[in-house]
Amino acid sequence: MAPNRFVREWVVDKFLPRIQQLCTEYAGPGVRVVVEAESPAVPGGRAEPSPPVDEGPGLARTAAAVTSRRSSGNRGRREGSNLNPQFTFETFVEGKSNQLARAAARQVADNPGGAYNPLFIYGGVGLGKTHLMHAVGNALLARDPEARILYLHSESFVADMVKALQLNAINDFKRFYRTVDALLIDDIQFFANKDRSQEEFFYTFNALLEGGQQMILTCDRYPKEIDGLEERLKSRFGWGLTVAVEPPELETRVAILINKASHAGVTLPQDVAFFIAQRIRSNVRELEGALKRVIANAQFTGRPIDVDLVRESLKDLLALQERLITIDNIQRTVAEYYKIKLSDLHSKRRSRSVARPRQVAMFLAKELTNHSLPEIGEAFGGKDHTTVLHACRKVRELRETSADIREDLKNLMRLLTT
Amino acid sequence: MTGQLPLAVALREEATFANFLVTDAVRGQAVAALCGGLAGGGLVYLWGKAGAGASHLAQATCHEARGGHQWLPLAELGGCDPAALTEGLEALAVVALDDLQLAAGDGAWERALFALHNGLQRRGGLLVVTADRPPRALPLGLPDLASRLAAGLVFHLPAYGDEAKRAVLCFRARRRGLELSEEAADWLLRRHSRHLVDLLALLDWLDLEALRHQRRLTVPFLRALLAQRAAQGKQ
Repeated sequence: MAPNRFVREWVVDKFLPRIQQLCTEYAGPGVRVVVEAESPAVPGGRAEPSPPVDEGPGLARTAAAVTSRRSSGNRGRREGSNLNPQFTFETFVEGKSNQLARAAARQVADNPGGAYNPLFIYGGVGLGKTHLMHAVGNALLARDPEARILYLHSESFVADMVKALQLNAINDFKRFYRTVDALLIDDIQFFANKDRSQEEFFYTFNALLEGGQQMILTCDRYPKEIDGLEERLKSRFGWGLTVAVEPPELETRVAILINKASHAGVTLPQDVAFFIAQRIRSNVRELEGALKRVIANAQFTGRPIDVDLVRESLKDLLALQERLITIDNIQRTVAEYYKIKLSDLHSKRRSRSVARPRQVAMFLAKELTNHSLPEIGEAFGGKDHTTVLHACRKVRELRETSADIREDLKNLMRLLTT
Repeated sequence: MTGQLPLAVALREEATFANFLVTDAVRGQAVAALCGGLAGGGLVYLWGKAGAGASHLAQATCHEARGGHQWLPLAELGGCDPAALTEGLEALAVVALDDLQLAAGDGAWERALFALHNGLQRRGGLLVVTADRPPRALPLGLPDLASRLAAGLVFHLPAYGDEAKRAVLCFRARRRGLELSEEAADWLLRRHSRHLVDLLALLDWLDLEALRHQRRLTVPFLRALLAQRAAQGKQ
């Protein structure tokens, strides 16, 4: 029994003829050596969410988990669900950027299989989509410990399906996925261009919806924008409720940092949280990584957590960030985004097609760099600092009133900070 | 299963925590994080130039793993199918992957690592990654993987200065029961190589020669040995 498929192939390729030869010599011609790949066993007694498997495929593993859960009570239900118990509504930090998605998820948790089915949550990486999905699953399980909730990444669904096809067990596969109470599938963009998986998922989706079972899907983009996905799936994804999760704004980032620090048993001073949050904007995972690094440094050196310690702990990250976010880079990115010439940003042209991008670039330069207003003005062809001030005010105002500008800013921020 | 694939990728015996000299605070923090990860799982990402000790620490963590480990030195695994290679590894306590920069931009590797990371995370395993640059500087095509790497504990292991190299050399000699004075270590640094990897490889040979000649590693002895070796090399 080989520990995995790779080892199996390697042994078959390199050693099987010799092993077979030796066995024949010792035990006679009737002996046939077969090398099989086993599924991962529990190493050294570590906790294992799924029960041991002997057939190998993930499908068998998952199906076995469901069967065993029937007899092992709530603990088994939770373990087989793949849910992370840390991801709950209580540990989710709410802000303007994720308010709607959180409210929708809460609704689903209170009324599964209702109007918001499927719940489709989309947004960039590391913004809390998976957290919300688990939070719903955990809430459903808390309310009904016997509920059969299954969380999985879309690639696991694909892998299970492929194995089921190989083992001629597609009916088991179908039966298994269609009998859960709630199916939570993460990152469905990975279904793109996998036609057979899409087809299978399409039928599973229909069956679950007809049965009133809840589905929650996450994706890194709006359903219609997923290339390589069948139209019928795209349209079905929109049948329930589609909500976006935006990158967190400063105040939410600060709250996330303080919250995560508190979970780690550390009190993070406000000024420190602001210092980190002002510099790391891209996503929550990066914030989390930065915080871990600061805490590791503080614990190792025994120093209190202050801005100096943060500067020291994150110097590589901050240096990289500063190299990426320069006024030059902002101007280049904005010009490219709005498809105008870089020289237009430096010019005195006042037509809307040039003036608006210039204002946006000035606003981003003020927001993302530490340059003063006169320095920014100088970098835009020698403009006065009051022009920059006006641009910043104008863009802030437009951000509140114009969805287009909001979208542009979101895209540009993402381009510049990830 | 101990997690060791039947490939020529066995852990280096000497790559242990006991053989690692903590020369600065960052390395101390990295060791602490790896030891913490052995108990609690997570992701530790070590980056720095070759010879900074990242691979040593990754392998040391594997040596200490209770519950299975796998070391994946990407430089030695060219041509392997990433999905097959990583299949089942999520059940191990520790998976250490060296030189991630070699896989960045390779879709199949990135997807395999993403799945492996998620699996390890779910089961409380530890993923140790080494690379020559920080996560954000890797040309990764999968943003999901990039963001997950950034969420780990990232340490930049700075290149060793001469003083640190001398200290490491003397320390490793002591660990072998050899006496190497600072003066002799300095001489090696000036006359042989400034690269720690080369110096440590030389130490293997010096260990044998010292035993064979029953001599201490003094500067005159080192000079004679290396002259002899150079002469043999020319012949």
